[in-house]
Amino acid sequence: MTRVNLLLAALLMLTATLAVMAGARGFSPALLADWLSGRDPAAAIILFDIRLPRILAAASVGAALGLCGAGLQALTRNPLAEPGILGVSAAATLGATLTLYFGLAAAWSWALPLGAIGGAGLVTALLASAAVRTRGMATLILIGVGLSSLAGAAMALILNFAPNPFSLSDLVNWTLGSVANRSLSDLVLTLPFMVAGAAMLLTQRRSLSLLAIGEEAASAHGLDFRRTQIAVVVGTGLATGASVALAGAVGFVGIVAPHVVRPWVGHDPGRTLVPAALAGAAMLIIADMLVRLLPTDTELRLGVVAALAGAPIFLLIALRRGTVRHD
Amino acid sequence: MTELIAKGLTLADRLVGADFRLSPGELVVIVGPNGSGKTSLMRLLAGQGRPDSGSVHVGGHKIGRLSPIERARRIAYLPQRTEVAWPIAVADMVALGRFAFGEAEVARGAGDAARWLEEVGCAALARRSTATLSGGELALVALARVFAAEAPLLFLDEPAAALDPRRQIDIMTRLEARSRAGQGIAVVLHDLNLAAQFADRIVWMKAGRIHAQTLPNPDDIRLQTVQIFGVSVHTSADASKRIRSVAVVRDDLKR
Repeated sequence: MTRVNLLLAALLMLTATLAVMAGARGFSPALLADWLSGRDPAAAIILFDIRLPRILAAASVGAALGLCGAGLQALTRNPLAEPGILGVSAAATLGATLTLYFGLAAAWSWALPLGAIGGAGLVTALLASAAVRTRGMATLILIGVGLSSLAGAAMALILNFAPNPFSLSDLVNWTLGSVANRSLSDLVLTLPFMVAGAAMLLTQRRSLSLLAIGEEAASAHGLDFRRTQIAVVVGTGLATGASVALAGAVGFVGIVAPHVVRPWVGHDPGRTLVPAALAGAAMLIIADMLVRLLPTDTELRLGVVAALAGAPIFLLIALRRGTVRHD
Repeated sequence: MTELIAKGLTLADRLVGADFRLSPGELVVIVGPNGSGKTSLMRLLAGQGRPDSGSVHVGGHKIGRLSPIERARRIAYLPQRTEVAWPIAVADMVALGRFAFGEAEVARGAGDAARWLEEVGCAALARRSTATLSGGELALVALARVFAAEAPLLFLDEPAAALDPRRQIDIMTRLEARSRAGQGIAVVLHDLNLAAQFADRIVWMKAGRIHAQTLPNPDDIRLQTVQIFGVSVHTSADASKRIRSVAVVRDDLKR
């Protein structure tokens, strides 16, 4: 298990290093060399004020979403569960958008992250209470789709009534998802929530492993199911909310990252958490690097790339699962 | 000594005023028609869910007062239905039975899994994925997981239902050996033949009540099967009145 984590951490460092060197004109170590030799004062600004915050944002959002995906999947015992599919991201986006729309975000910088976290927390709590009552996991996905649509409808309403083109484009930014132009202070506002959420999820590692044998058998072996459920729900709300506050809605990382690493840890849901976070971080860094390197007139949004790559994989998992068993 | 004493357990319309006691070294078999409250009784005895009224004490502690971990160290419970959500390895699933004893024990348990798998005759499965197992194999692996807890009290809900005759006898023989070694075991069975041959005591349930508790002797078994199930049985016993077999008879051949 530690070997998998080391390997993924190395991969993450590699992608981050590549991302530091990636610029408008392709990969080049020249800027790094300039900064190291102190020849060009602009190099430091480009590296530390533009590229580094962006890479850190992509990495932390990817890690948070990968971790939340793995946590939700372990809790619901469904490989299709993910903040995006279950409507958690949509609700967080709605929460963030509301604070933008009513001008709260402009007045108080913590308003936007708190709005996003509030939205995410509310939906995760709804889902968790539904998960207790419904046995079939298909039902849970359907409830998530319903909640997602509801949040989407409310978003459309807000866009509909957006007072001017500026606020409209501001709002659209949150729905598409991007880590462009993020500053270190944006990170400072959101990272603590992600760390807190991640810590809560990680405390449940062993319990989530045990939950593989079903709620009743797990609680017979000493699992405190309510505590695990609350920790995962609150942790997911915090981490997903904060990542939406930082980057808007970025879908499918939460489903693809755990899916990729699961075979490497013997499918143990608890041991999937950390590798899923590392893989999610690496995936979003790569996706964001693509966004920067592709020569498009208007910058491609990170959320769009993630969805284009992730949605087919989601479908593949769903189809493959459909042939195995039905529940 | 961990003894379990339940008094007046009542749960909605599924269980009415059930009194039950399980002592170390005892193998108790619970039988009764479908829907007679066997599983409800087992769940309450194992501390899963709360009764509407009545109490369960384990080793002098009220079961609701114990933390989930403390409870799991005293009572191991095998639910009727075996679930595995992910294709984890058989040895890892067995090791989960050590959960209540800490992370290190679970890690060590994966190595020791062979011991408990051996007990259920599945040592060869250790490295297989649980997704590739048959229903009966999965039931045996789940039983090995419950054995791995090494709790003084065992509650098993139909552990033999999915098994072939050889495996049924093997499992009941293992349970008998474990009870002789000091564990208190309560097991739900539908097979009267197994129940009569292995039980120290039979608990007969009907319509949410404990109808009777008897020793496994031929007269009681013939009487209770008629009253509880409405079927007649042939019994054969040896000179010491120890049951050798019980066979259910079709209705038109009733004496």
